[in-house]
Amino acid sequence: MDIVVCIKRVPATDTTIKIAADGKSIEPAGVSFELNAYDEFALEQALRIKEQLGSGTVTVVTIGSKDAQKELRDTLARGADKAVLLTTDQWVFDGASTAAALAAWIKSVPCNLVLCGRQAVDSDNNQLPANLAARLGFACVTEVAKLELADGTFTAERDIEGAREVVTCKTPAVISCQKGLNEPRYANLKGIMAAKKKPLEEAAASLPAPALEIVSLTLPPARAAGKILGTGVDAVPALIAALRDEAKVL
Amino acid sequence: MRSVAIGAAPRYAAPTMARRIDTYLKDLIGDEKLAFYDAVRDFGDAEIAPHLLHWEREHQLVPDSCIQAMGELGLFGLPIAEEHGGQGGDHTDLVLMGLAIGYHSQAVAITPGAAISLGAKPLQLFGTPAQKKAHLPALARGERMFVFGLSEPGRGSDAANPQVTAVRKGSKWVVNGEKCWSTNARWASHVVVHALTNPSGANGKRSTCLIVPMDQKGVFYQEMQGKKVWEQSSTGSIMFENVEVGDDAILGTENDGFKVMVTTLNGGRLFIASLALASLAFALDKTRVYAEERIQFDDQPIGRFQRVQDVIVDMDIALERGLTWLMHCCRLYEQDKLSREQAAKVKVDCSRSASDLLTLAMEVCGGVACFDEFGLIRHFNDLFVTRVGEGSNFALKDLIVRPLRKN
Repeated sequence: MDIVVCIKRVPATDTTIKIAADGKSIEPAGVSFELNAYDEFALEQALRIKEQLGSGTVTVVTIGSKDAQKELRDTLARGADKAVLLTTDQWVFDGASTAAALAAWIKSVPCNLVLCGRQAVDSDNNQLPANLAARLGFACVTEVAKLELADGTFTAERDIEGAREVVTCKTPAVISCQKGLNEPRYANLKGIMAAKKKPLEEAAASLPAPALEIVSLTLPPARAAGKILGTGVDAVPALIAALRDEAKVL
Repeated sequence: MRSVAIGAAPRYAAPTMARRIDTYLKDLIGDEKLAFYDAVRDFGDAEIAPHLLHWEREHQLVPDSCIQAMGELGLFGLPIAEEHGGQGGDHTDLVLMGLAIGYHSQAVAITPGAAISLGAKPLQLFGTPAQKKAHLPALARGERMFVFGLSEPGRGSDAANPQVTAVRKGSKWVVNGEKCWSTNARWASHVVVHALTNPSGANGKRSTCLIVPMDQKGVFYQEMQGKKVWEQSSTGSIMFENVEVGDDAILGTENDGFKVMVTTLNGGRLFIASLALASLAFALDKTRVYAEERIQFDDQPIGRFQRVQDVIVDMDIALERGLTWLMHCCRLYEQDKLSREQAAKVKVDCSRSASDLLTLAMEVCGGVACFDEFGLIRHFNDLFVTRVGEGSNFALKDLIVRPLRKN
């Protein structure tokens, strides 16, 4: 099976975000970046499927600047066979244009399965998997928390409101991965050294003009300091009064 | 397996300070080495740091599950060639592992550290092809461990004259005596015994190294009780009572065992230096964060006081100096140009500056530094080992002074 894994380089979850002077983008200086956490599940699942079948390829693709080579190398170190960087200097925030560029590239390579994270933790748009599947004409299963493959059929489990849904599908398919699907592996030294010899190709991303425009970005308001109303049982009436009259949550 | 943090850290919270050590390493090592360091650091953060306090309070050694996880990550096989099932790395990779894991716990880091630098290394350097084939693949996976039988109840710095003896009896060697302070004894499959074989030989030509299986008849292991440093690391004493092994157990050459021991320790000293710097790196981050958070007098952090700043600055200087020096020594080691004096000097300096500065760092933090969960007391205790382990600093100065006294 030829598997394509779509990844994204995102600001690290513990980094401090500052809004750039234009008020519409983030200031990249001083921000550390990492592989989108949900994409780690997608990569791990791709590697496991290849290991289970004992054949096939795992190709990782991303759209971005040359800085994303670091994240691509990391995926090669963990076991991907090939990485492709679709280059652009633009800040890509529109799920539809990302999907268009990825679909155009995926159509040019052998691919029966696309795996991606359920969403990127920077923009949280949650659009790519379905949009990509529609453009490719593939089956689409999103937010998969358990995935099994037997006799060419995937059985996927998804957490839906108050229940778990089980669906099956065949390839070609786009499957987006939820936390809990697997425990991603670490890169070991041998993998890191082997990654250097694996192909990391670059091509210009064919991005259509974005259908969306970001008008402004603002940080959430700073949280006010906490208030200590007293200690022990004696403080309970004051706490209830504050929750009812000030916070208005009771 | 990797624990992926999603939404664990508040994105808009006050900045957590990046590790100072990371900023220095970036300029000292190449991208590939840095990627390896990053992977081991992430592993340490996710798989070791959250459990340390529990292991300490329960007085546990490194759990088998953790050893297995480190084995899966390849940490036990770092500088072992790929043809022998290892990772095909070098000594620098071992030192980077010491820096990454030692940041949380020297005791955990020394487990693969000693397994490699004291266990697998002498086999790599002096083993016959048959010995290497028999042991290196299992050692590389962490499924088997060799321990280094050098120290004895009555022999530490005077290691050239062991009291453990091996006497030839027909085609066999008969080993008697006791080794102690053997790191990783709890998990050992074999012990490399440094034994007196030629009492009348020249100094340094009296001993032979023998590979003895721990399950051999007459071998008894006991964990040394009451140790308050490197608490999660196993330290054992091993008794030999008429233990018989053949000539195929000899590691290196007969009566040249001291050379095996001395050559092995050279690389091990760089690893000990890495542990000292790892503790210093942790203490620097902990202290500088605390100094900005601890508010005293006029609602201001204590980090504004120059005496506090002095300690933090001195730690920062010692860390950058030590890392730069250690990486230089690693480069020389890879080129086979590192002298015994150089290895000794970097170990002496890193261990004493780190442990001296830890005392001051704890003084800056005050009462909170007395508690295990703050972490400094763990590194304070463990740094003592770096002063006396793999050659005590006092004894190593004898070595360092030699070229200074030559005519």
